[in-house]
Amino acid sequence: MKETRLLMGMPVTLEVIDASATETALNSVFAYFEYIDRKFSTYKDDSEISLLNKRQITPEQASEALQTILALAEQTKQATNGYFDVTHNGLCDPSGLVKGWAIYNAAELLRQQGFENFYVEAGGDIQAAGKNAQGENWRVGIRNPFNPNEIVKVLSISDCGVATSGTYVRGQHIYNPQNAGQLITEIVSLTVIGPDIYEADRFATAAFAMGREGIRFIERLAGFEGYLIDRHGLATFTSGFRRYTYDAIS
Amino acid sequence: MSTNSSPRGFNLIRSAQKFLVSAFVLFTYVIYALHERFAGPPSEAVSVATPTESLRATQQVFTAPPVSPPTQALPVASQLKLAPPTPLPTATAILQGLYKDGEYTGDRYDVIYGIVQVKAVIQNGKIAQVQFLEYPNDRRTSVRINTVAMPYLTNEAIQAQNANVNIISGATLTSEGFILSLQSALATAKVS
Repeated sequence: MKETRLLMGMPVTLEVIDASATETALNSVFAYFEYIDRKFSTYKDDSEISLLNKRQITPEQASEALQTILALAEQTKQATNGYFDVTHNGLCDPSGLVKGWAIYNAAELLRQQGFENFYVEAGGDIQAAGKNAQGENWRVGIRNPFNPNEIVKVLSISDCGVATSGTYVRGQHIYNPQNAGQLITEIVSLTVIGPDIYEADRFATAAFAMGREGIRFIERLAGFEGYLIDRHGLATFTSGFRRYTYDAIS
Repeated sequence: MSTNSSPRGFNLIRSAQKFLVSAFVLFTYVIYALHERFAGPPSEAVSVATPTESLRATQQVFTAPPVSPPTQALPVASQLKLAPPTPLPTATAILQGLYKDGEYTGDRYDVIYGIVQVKAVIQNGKIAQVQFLEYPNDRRTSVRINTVAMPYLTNEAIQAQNANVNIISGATLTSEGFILSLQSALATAKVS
């Protein structure tokens, strides 16, 4: 069972292979994304994050979910040496962190309902569990940043997360703290495979902001692999990356 | 005596020099050995934008014991429990069969980097597929491979692959032009 909806300003796709999958189960996950959007959308005037930015509520008055996100944001800022910062011009915009976190929790919702073989994909970021319809690892294509109808790599993954950061990310949460005005133009796409989508997404975002150095940052993170594409169409990948490519496994 | 004292004095100086040089070499070796012992893999020697301190902090994120006691070392997101989402039966019910079956072409959007246009395919009232009709491709993929790769990292020129995949990862799906064009396509497809 597979379905795509436009939520949180991006296409969200769920596919559950387990025979016990129901429309109700999928609906509950889509409803979760709607709940997250209502709470964290900076485009919605009455979202909790907007109320926080307008000082109509204090962080102490925030819901458990928002307090969790604020704590994760602080932790991520430290873990990435300030390369991932949700605060810009005094306003908090945790969208870059919320996305991966929401996908992770959506996958947990499916797991709690007893499903074992599924994926949750939102805006090109993926949490995959178990096997695909053919009983194999999920096949994930990395999109060609120069031609969206083409893929340039096929990954074979199970029970992990894959996130790609790119130049054309809507709402630029990615900037270089060493030079705040500097646009990241040397690299165009950075895909990160991590233990789950929350981890993969936040480190993909931070590493992308580092430019070319980002791939070395990923190399040095235990349990993460990366594939960077620069503006010349040249890719650089980490030492363990080939373990996840389809050719290596088949 | 005077003829002897000079070579003897010279020998003493030579010995002292030898001793000092040996001590220096030994000292350097010990420092190097200690550095190798504690500094980790050789990649550490390569200068990286992020200081070692931040990387340690990063590693701690994964190795530090969880605050609450889950059965295994789960990632951070799982430890920080989220309030269970409130189900929205009415909202989801409305979403059923929201669109009319068919193919709908979205408007062309001129975003800073060029024109984006997509087509949405609706089957059984749901989004079945989204195709790119136009997308800027101004950046040439002329490849100049620098073989002096970084330690452990490998370079290759990107190449189109067989599209037989389940899922696609890419930042394109969050680009402004994509969303605008898709929204306009879905507006046409909407059941009034």
